[in-house]
Amino acid sequence: MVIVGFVIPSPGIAGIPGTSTGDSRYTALPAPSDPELLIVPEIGLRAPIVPIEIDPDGVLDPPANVHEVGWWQRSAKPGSPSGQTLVTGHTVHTGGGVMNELGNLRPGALVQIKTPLGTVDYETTKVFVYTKAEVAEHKLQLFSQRRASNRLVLVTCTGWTGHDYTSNIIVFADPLGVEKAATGDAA
Amino acid sequence: MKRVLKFGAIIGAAAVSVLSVGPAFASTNDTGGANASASTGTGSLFQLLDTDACTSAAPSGTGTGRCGNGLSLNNQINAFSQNASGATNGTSTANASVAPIDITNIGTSLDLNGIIDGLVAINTGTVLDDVIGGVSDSVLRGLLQNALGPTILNPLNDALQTTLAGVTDALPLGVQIGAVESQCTATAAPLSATGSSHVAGVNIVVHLGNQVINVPMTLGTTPNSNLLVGSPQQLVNGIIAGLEDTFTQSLGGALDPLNTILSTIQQQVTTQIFNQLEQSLLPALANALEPLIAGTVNKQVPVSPSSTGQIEVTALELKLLGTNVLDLARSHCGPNARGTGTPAGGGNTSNPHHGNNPHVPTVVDAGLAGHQDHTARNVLGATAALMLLAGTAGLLGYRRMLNK
Repeated sequence: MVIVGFVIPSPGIAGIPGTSTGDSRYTALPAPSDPELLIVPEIGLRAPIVPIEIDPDGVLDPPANVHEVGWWQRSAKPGSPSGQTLVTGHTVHTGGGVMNELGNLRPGALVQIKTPLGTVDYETTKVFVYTKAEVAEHKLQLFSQRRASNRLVLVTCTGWTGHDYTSNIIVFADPLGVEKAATGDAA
Repeated sequence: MKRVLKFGAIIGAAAVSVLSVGPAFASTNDTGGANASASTGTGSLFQLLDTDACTSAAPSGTGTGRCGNGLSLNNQINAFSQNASGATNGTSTANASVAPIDITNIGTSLDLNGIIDGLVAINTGTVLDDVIGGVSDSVLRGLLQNALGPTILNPLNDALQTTLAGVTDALPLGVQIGAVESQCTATAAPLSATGSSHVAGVNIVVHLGNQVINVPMTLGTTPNSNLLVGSPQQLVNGIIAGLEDTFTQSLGGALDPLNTILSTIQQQVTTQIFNQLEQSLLPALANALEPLIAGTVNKQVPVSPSSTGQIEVTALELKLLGTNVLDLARSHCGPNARGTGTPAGGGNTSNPHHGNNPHVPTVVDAGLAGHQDHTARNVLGATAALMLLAGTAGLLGYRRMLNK
């Protein structure tokens, strides 16, 4: 498990860029659309996305199938102009977890989410680690849907102590849009 | 006295502070909002038609950005409005409208030459046969067919070919869009969002010589209806009238020496030719216009009423030449949620979205010590190994028994 080399931001994460690049190669998704497939070429991640929900204690559990990732169904859909799209998947200490390599992602890396209306490209902007306490402290900045411009947030666990995990790896990625030649494709 | 005044000033300042902090505190944990945009354009044709947006978000609930009525955009859009408010107390609303827009030149044209080329197959001989076939006297009919047929057909054919070959104009196209508007409302309790929109009309405008012909497009009434080119009868009529003029001029005095009977027959043949042309032209023009302009009327995502608590309504999504997209009168509302501990409204401090679920996660429990599949695979692997071992031992025993 890789837990080194992350960009660790200060606890205050306001000011992280959240807007798209305005690259002319991209166009907007016609409408917000349910996510179906997460693709992160740099770490060989390609996993079906299933909707998940928080339990009454505020805990968000990824799908039991460690080869799938979960999209918090009350977070923004890809293509939404605002809010945050939250996707999480398991890290498995013995290997085989869908997000075991998430920590190897670097800013600038491409992340894609396939939807029925097209595949949205994102550009990784931050990869960092928060302790569980820091995640709870910054839950609104990390997961609130009040964000003016849309952002993708990928989360998995790290910091295996031998019996549990102490921290989360968090990845921020800004939407670039749908690559013009690929509109309506099946990536 | 001075001391009393000083004390009063301190109390007053404290009171003002409490009053100003109070409302913000009351809704600090509410989430959601709304936004509205009268016009958003992408592509070279529409990129200047961007009115920005009016956005509201809890806790203030006041629209920020470009908000209001009677706004205008650099001579591109004469009048538009965009407003958003909420989601204070879990409710947000938005509306947007745009006054009629004329896009005089959409940067492409209708190439009649390509359409007319496909109609050259009209057989004037067959048309003449039909006309002469109406003559009851068989002797006269025979005479007309054998003797006069070439006399009529040759100038008619020449005139028709000249007319059709002469139509090389590419007709400039424009679009007229009537007033459009949309609105939406989202509430946190009950979790719901509704919206609606209206489009007054959309015409394709074709410039045919000095004529300006409006071809009305078909607007569906149900949500997410396709914008369709209807039967462009008015355009066909205009084109036919123009062709007939050219045809008559091309024909000139070709039949002048002939008597009235032949003039009558000529008129009948001409009428029949243009009747045939009209029947072919109607679908041909509709097919030619179809790829130039497309769109969605009353676009709703999801369709109202929405049980997800959010909705986006776009009165008209217009696509020209595939890559130029104009979204007119877009309103987005929700999803909204009441924050835990929000005193406004009292009582229920739970999140109304999903039972008692909090409105954001506090823990993401995305780690496992091991993977159950591994255990299952290990058991299967061990079983297979044991069976292989047992089989090998059995074979060895059997061979040993045979050797004895």
